[in-house]
Amino acid sequence: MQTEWLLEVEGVTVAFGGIVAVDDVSFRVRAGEVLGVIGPNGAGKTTLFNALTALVPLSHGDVKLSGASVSGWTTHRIARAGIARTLQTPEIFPQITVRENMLAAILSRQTPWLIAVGLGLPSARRCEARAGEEADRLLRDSLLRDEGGRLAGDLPFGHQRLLEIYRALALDPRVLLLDEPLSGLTREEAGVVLGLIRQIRGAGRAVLLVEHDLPSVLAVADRIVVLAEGRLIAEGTPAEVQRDENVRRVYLGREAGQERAAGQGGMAQ
Amino acid sequence: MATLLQLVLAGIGMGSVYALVAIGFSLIYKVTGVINFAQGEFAMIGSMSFWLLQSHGIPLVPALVVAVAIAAAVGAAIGRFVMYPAAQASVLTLIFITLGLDTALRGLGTLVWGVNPVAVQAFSGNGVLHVLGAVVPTQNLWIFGAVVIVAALLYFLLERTYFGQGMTAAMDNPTAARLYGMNPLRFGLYAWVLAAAIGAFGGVVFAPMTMANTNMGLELGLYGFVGAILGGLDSLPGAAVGGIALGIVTSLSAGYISSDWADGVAFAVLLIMLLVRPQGILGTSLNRRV
Amino acid sequence: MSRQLLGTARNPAVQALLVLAIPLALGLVVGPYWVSELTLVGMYTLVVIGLNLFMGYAGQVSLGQAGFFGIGAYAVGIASTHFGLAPWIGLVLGMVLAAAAAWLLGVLALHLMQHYLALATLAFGIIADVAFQQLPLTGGNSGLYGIPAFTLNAIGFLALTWGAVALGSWFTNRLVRSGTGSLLEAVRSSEVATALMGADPATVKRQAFIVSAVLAAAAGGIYASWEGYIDPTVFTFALSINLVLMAVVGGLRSVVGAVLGAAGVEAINQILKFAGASLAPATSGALQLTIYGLALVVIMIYWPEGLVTGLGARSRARRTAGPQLPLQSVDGHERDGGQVVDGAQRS
Repeated sequence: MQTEWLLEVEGVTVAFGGIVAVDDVSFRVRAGEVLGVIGPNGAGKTTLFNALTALVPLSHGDVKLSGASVSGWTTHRIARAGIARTLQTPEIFPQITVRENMLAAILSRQTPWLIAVGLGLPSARRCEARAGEEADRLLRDSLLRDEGGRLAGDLPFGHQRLLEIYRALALDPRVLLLDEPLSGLTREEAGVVLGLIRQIRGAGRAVLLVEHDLPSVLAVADRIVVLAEGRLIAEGTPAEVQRDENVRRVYLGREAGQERAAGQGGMAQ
Repeated sequence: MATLLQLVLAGIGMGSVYALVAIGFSLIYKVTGVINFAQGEFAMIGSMSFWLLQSHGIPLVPALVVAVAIAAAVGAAIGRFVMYPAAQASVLTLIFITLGLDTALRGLGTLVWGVNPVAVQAFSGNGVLHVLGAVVPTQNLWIFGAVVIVAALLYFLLERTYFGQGMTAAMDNPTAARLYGMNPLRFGLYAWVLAAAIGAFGGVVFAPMTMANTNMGLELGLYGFVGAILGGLDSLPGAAVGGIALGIVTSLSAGYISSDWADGVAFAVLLIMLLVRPQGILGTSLNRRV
Repeated sequence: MSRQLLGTARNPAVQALLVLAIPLALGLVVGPYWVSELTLVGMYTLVVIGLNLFMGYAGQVSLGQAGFFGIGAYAVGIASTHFGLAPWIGLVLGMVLAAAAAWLLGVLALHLMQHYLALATLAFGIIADVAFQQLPLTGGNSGLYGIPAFTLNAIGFLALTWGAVALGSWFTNRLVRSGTGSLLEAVRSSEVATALMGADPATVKRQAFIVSAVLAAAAGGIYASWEGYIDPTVFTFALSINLVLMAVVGGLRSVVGAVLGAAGVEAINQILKFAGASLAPATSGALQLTIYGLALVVIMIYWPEGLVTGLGARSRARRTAGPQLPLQSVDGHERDGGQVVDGAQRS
């Protein structure tokens, strides 16, 4: 029965000095499921993602991918194992083209020897050729199919977000973590991204979605976990979560709370 | 035993100079995020200006004040005319800029003061003190005193004045400082002036210990960096402690191994330190970026 | 037509041939003095091409390249004068030794952020220089005499040097234009994003560092055999800075930039030597330092991408579709601006 859960988060705790940003959070995700992660600003959503991808160390707890623990692994090893993610501010590589962005992502898995590539050894050539074909194939099936030759930095913001998601998909991940993929997008672009998320889920992958736009999360998520002040306060289907007393309290007191949190957030940046 | 004490005391004297350079280095790093490779040149400017004034018969205190003021003016010019236009530059670019400043200041110093080493008179004669069998030049007391004075003044300035609290805020959180209407560039400028003055003060008190020359800045600067990193780049007390510790280490290695290898030992210590206490690895850099 | 010509000129093999042919042709028409100057520029260029890869493409700083140059030089010197081996063998040994040193330093220090890494490489350079002065094999401060030449005449050395430059340029150009070159750019642009894609940024940086070290050692080995005499005053921090200056003057991301940077700095050297003939040697040296330093500062403030790379990037942007943006707008600031505008449209 272990394989039923694709991603298991068990008692994950992240503390910086005396501040506990994520406090004993546990949940599990199945393949083919979209899990919404919501909560007010400062609830620890991005820190949770950082912990899952080893950008910050776990203070306690364990993360399992298909039943095998990945805690203590480095970021790139976790990525190779199948957990991909995007960042709140998209980190595309602006000075190379869209296609080259995809190539970089595809080649990241093998990281060919630079010396072999420079000398043009057959193994490196084969690797490069395969990567080129894969990049073309991925781009052909994407919404950026006509923009492969453009410098990524010249893309409009929404397309940069899309590129980052496609780049994460180039890893062929089993779990995709999306950190506010809709923020800064037009309504039209947001619709495209939501469609893409449904498509990803359809391919049997799990998606964890941190997003402030609640209606979108309610529309696309199969289940939702709610974080507040680092703790998991509710978990369930969108309907269950909307009825939950704890959640209502957090979101009713939200106006004042969020303003305060936003003020702090702005200063901490 | 007497040899050990002798070496440690000599190391503290030399280390106090490194500490002054290191404090200036940390100050600029904390306020502006710039690694200032030209920091040692402020000590050179202090030394050579002091020598020039002294050789014209100017008494100790005015000569010291003017020498420090000259370096502070150079620091201000750099802070204003180099660092303002380069405010948006990348870490890589800023490293190249301060390396260029170091080279240019060394060249300009040589054009102004010539290439020959010069002798600077000790503040209170060439006397020595005898401490438990060890011999300490009285100038060492001046050097050590300089560190104590600078540390006390900096503490007072940063902790007890409104200006200093603004500067501390700018160091800890530049964005917040900007929200409160403080101009981080302005504080960067003050940091350059202060760092230049502190470095020059170190150069002036150090000058009588050796033959001062226009090439001394590079070596002092490099030792200052090592000291600052030993103590912790973003801690001013750390820079002072690190500088003095480095002085003791190099003095001991010169005494017990060979003075020829002292440079090698100092930089091996730097490498080991970077290995054992790796600041700025992915983990800590992320809190800022994600 | 002109685009086709441009495409041909950008072909790595064509560039490599030009890099070999132009200095050789020049060498055949000018006198022996200029042949020796051209050879020296070639050696610097070889180091600078390696620095280009490490600094311009992988986005790191090395302030210890003189150490690798010295390792190459002393390997040839020691192998030939102490052990009677052919300089070729010393050259290969030096490259292997430099690769090993770079690997070790990379393991120790390449996880550090840029400015710590700069200090670590600086420390390496100074330790190497102290070792050259103090080790029994290196001949101490008096250096090593009578290092045999590669049994070549002056033109032969010119061809050998620029042949090595051509190989280095061919290698680097192929690498940076490949998909793996995009991975290098990824590391330069964001190590976090690179790690999230599954590549270890430290591995990529380490490999680029090793390549740069091997090229520097090759240049050093040729230098020792060409000069016939080496001492520690050559392989100092000042040389490392000079090499960095050559790299950034031309531009950190182009072979042409490397050649022009090395040639430009050497030209300033020569001009100052002629102009400074009436001055005392110390004064002309100081003038040189001042000019180098100020040049570095001014270029870095106003053309942080270097002189040649700045132009190259512009022509590249013109070739690609879409609106042209000035180079500065490719960083985060413009993106933040875009976000605000898009956000406003959305609400």
